[in-house]
Amino acid sequence: MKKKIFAFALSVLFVLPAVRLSAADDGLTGLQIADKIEASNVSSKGLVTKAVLELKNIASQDAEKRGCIMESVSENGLKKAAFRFTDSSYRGTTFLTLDKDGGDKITYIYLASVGSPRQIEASDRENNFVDTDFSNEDLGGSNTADYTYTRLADKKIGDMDCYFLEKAPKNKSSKYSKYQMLVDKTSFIPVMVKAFDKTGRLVKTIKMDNIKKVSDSIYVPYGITVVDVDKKHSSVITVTQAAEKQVNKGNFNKNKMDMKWPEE
Amino acid sequence: MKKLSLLIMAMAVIAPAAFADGGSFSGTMDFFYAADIKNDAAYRRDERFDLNYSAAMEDTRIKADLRAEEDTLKLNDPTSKFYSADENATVYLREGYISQDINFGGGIDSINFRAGRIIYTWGNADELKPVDILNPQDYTFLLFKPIEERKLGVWSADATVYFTQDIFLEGVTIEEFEPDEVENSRIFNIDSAETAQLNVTNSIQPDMNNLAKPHYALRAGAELFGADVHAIWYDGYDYEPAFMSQLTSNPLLPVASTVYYPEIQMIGLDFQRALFSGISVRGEAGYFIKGKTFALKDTNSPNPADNPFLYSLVTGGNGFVEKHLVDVTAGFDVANLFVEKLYMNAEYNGEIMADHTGDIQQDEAEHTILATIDYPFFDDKITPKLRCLYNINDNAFAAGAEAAFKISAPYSITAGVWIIDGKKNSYYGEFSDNDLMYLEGTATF
Repeated sequence: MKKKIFAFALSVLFVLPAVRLSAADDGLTGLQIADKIEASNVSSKGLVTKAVLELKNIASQDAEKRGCIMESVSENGLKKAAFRFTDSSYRGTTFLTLDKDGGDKITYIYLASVGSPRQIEASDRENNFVDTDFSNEDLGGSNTADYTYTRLADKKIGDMDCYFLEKAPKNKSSKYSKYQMLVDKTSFIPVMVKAFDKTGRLVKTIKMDNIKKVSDSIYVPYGITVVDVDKKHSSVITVTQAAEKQVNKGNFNKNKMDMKWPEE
Repeated sequence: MKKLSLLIMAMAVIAPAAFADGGSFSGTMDFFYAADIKNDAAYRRDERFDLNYSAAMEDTRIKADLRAEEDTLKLNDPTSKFYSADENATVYLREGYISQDINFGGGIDSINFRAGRIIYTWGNADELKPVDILNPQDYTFLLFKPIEERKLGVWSADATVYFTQDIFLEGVTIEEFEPDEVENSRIFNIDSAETAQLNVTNSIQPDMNNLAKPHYALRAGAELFGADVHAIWYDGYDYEPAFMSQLTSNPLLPVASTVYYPEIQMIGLDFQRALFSGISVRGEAGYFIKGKTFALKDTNSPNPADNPFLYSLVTGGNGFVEKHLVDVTAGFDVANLFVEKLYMNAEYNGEIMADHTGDIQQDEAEHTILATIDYPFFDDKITPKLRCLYNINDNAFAAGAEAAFKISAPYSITAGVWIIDGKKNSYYGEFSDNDLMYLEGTATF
């Protein structure tokens, strides 16, 4: 019996710290992981992703598909990302996010009916991009400085090791109280994000799957599903083509948001 | 309709070849039917087909919008420039240009050249846009259609030097003159009470072959403290008609007037800035230092001493005086007013005349308020929208209410009503015979 107690005590002494060590063996804080998410999967040449977006009313099963294209590039550590619809009455509607010095972002939306880019305010970034379930922030990335991050115990999804983060908006007028994120340790892609409202109720989920490596350092989720729990509505992006390639920097110029991209 | 059908067939034949070549065709069909509320009669049937071609090859881009249109309001009106006695439709190139980027890596980020028939969008306000004056507009739609839809392209060349992606200098030279579509007798009754003295006998359009007369615009843009700011200089012709009058020896027609399009010079500024809580502020202002003329008061008195307009004519004037004018629009957007997606835009427009004198018909300052509210719901399939322009000076307004139903992404139907009211000689009241109900269907491919 004494031997068993001794063995148990040893295990407590040695195994538990090991478990604890595995939760944060890399020493990364929640904010550092968030910064890595923002800095990962970007290219100084350019990343071009073509996709089909399906909007679906989960209750009625009414669905509608549209073509879209996403481009991003990193210049001097500052990321530029653009999203554009390529067909239907939304053709040409373009969303542009530009990193600014100091960690801030500036975002623009271009509608052909308006003819010039419109600057979007930070709290507007939580709103949905036109009639999709993606928020403007989902498409353009978030300012890590706008949130506080807490790293929780790592989790495993299947054979995928994930960081588990909780982030809370600093802005008290935010419509969300917190987000929970599972981030793939290999690709730094948030494979599951849950958003909770002020009462703590789950209101939105984002799931990214079918992650593929498209170049030495870039991973792309070929499936992105956003579900608005309250509206029972989903937006599913299915990537048809993704590649790291040279893109015209003018594609990220707000004054040229009406111009066609060669990659369209 | 024959031309329209031919265009559709041509598109069907050409489209596969264009796709194979890297370019792509798209298009929009728009059917607008309006009924005259006051007279319980048909008002207008406008059927449009826009065939768009776009191509992008590395740093070169091509864009074209060929429009076929059958518009009963214009085609039945001999005063319209679209009128044709033996045709029942018109086809024209609304926009078409080639664009070339040249990218650098040093002190200049890039240079962009464009040439062709171009629609420019300058300024950041909505609808009442003092600095967005590079293109003529089809004012037969008054404000029923958004400004981008009303614009007509101009043959021009445009060069923009981007020092950074935020700081640029743009120069435009315009090589044609096409007046605003305002000579339509159904909409613009220039024999109305306000302008009874203007018996227009002829119209003089600028001679674009006279190279001594400049027709250009410059724009410099920068981002300052998070705001997008542009400074503008325009030296060219006004697409809006101006008048000059003179006495005649005809006792039945004692005054004759001539329409002309003055050369104007404008210094402008525009800005936009996203602030907080979904609020953005936007505005633009133009200071016209040349070419803005204003009618003198016509008291209908035969005695020139009591009638500034008549006094001007008998003393060698033309019944109008030129004054400097400040035209300013400023306002704000709220993306989520009280509830998510309830959008509101409110703007103020003021026209302030310099050195105003009491014998000028227009007030020293004209004040107009514009408000728009819309709220998409039911998965954004239904969007009701309210718009109102209210002229404070004249207590006159134009207001519209419509509901758009998105059947699916390519198809939509919109039903609406526009009411215009005010004194007959007021800013909006002169168009008060144009109350209408409309039904519009749009299909894109």
